[in-house]
Amino acid sequence: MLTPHEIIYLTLFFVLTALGVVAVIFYLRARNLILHNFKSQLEGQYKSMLTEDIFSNTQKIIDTTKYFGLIKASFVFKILFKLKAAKREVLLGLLAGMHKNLSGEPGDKIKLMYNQLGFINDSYKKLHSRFWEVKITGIRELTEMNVTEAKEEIMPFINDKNVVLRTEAQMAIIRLSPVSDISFLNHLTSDLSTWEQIHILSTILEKDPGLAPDFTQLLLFPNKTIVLFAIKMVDHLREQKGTPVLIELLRNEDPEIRNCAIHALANLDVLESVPILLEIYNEENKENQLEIIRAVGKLGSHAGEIGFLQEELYNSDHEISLAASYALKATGSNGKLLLRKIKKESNDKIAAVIEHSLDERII
Amino acid sequence: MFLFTSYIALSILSIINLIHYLRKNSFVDYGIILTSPLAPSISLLAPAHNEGVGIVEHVRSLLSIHYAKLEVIIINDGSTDDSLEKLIKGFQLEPVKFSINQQLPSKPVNAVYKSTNPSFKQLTVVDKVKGGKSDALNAGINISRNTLITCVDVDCILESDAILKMVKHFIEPSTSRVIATGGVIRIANSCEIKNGQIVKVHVPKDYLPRAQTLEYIRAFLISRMAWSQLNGLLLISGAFGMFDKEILIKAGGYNTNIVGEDMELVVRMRRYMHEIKVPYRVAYIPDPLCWTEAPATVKMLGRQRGRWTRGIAQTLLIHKKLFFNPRYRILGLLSYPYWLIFEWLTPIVEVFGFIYFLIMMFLDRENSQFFLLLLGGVYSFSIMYSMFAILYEEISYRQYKKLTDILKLMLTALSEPFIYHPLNVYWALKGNFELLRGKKDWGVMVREGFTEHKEEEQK
Repeated sequence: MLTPHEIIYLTLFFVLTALGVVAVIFYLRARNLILHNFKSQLEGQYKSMLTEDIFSNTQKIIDTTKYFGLIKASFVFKILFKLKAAKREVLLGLLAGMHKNLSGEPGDKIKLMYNQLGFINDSYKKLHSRFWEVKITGIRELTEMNVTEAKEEIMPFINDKNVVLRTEAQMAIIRLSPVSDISFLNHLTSDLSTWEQIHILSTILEKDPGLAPDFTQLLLFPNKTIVLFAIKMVDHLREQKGTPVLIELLRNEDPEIRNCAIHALANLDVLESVPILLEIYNEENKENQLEIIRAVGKLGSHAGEIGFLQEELYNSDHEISLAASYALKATGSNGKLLLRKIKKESNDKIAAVIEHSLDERII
Repeated sequence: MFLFTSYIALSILSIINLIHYLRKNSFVDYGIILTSPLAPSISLLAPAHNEGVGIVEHVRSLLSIHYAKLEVIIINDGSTDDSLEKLIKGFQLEPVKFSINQQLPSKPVNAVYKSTNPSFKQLTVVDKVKGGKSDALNAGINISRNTLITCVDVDCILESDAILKMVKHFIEPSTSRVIATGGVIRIANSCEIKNGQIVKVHVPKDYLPRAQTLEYIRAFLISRMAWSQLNGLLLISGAFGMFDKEILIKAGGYNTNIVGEDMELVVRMRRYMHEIKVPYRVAYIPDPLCWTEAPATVKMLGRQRGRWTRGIAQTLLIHKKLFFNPRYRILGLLSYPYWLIFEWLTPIVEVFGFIYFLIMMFLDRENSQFFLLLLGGVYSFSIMYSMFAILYEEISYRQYKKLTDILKLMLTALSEPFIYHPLNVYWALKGNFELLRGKKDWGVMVREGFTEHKEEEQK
């Protein structure tokens, strides 16, 4: 139980804290406004100077000393911010933004400026920061300026426990290699999440989809998540030479790997996988059975395969029955004819499933 | 003291989590997920009952969401107005022969519609017999084809990247399975809306929606943020949430017999994960993802709050087994008791305390000085807590650009304990009486709609 004096002290504490918080709110508002205005003003000046220097045909080497003599910041600004750091941040941001969109001589000039102004050293220093977000900024700057020598220093971050930093490092390694290099996957010590997979794929495609790396070499890798990624990539990039290993993976002990392999084999039109798919069907879990049915529908056309699908159409499980109906439809015009024939002879439930699969408006 | 300490602890936990999230998020490019063939597929379900006014605009807004593998399912839950006719006309719909996989119980489906216009190929409209929101959602789940389920109120406005931010949690590396994700719901009253998107955010002009704005900031930026850090979230707002379909179905789908179906579903899914002994997580995103219209009249707000109280009580009663049950860890030892004491019982205790004070006053045995001191302490604490919430808003998303909006929120924080809070206590008490009387329905919710703002904008 609190005494009256304690309550008074507590009340005073709450009131003073509330007033302090209000003061912080106003301070933050003012601070953001001042910084925003300063940056806009500086950006405007830098932009026109950069455009002039970079696109000038006569000037091969740019006089960089003039860039930091600009703008006299107000007294308030100097108190609130580190002026030099703010200027460097704005200029570096602009250089990186312009480098992204320019190649050839203008691009080279920007990179030269980046080196001359000492930004390259700043970027390297950032890699050794205690803070992961600073490390990422360093990686981004070095990658944007295509400092290929930085690859070695970035490499250790591919296994960092911070996923944002890890992903950034993985993308940087691909970007800084002449052709998309995925050998770093061999050095991964943790699982490769879908999040990282999406970023790796996007970086490969952004670099040069025609020069995509060979993922088949990773199909038998010990790390399950990398195998799953490799299967998806073999499928997506249509790497036909991976099909023998994919068939081999149908016997893998992991059901998720088998599921992914079935899906890829169907997409890659590997007809020789059908007998094995039918052979393993009864031993599989429901997810994989559904995948096999879809694959057989896409790849099969022989009487045995049609018979298998017809049998599964009568399965008491609605999902399997519907998948079989769709699979029969996928076999071609004969499959559709067969479905129409079965519909006439079947009970309402099967007829409804067939009608559903034959309705082109339902995707 | 315990109350003060627990709120302060939640605030500290929340700010740590919030800052970490903001730093992490500043490096994320959500566009990468947008068209990736590796991204998971999503079914977005929006139940609608008598939403004829503006339903076509709302559905258009949902169809404009950026995500490649998305299907939108609108469930017309026995509307008696012209909702269905408007949808049929607006999206060139015609009935299809859909064979439904009845995995979850729901009232009969009259028809399933698809569009003849290829532009709306990802749209499916289900017309069914009225069974309530949870029943409609179950029907939608039965129709859905994708691996993640997003439930959204049809009249809500989603941020264009809302789905991307939600889905990120399901694909990030994690040692535990993410079973559900929720985000921040914000109040759209008085905001400017154009083409189904919020273009300018303002603090509501009317008092009640403004008080709710402050309440939502406190709830979403402090309380839920902190609970998510502890993996103790019990509630994902029914207005917008994303779920792992497999777990949702295995846990039994939405409970159609209660009014707090959103909270009950999360509790049941969590309970299911504990029972099958699989590590899991209910994730939370502090970004403002979904904008909703808050009830603007005392009558409507009272009805909503009464229903919320009944929902909390029903959920806690159904899952009473969790109470201080170590088997359920945080869920049983912390989340459940917290909701029981602070969310359900506190208004009741508050009213009894007030009645006790009145009796003492009548008997001339009260200590007025002590009472006033205590009142001052609690009042100053509530103001401090609200100021922290406004500060969190300021350092995170700064939705309110105008300084006058922030000042309005601060003034609301000063008056709220004397105007808005007593009303809330009354509605909570009323909700408890309704529960005792066995009231089960949702009650009619009349909304003004966003369309007027839109028309104003166009003029």
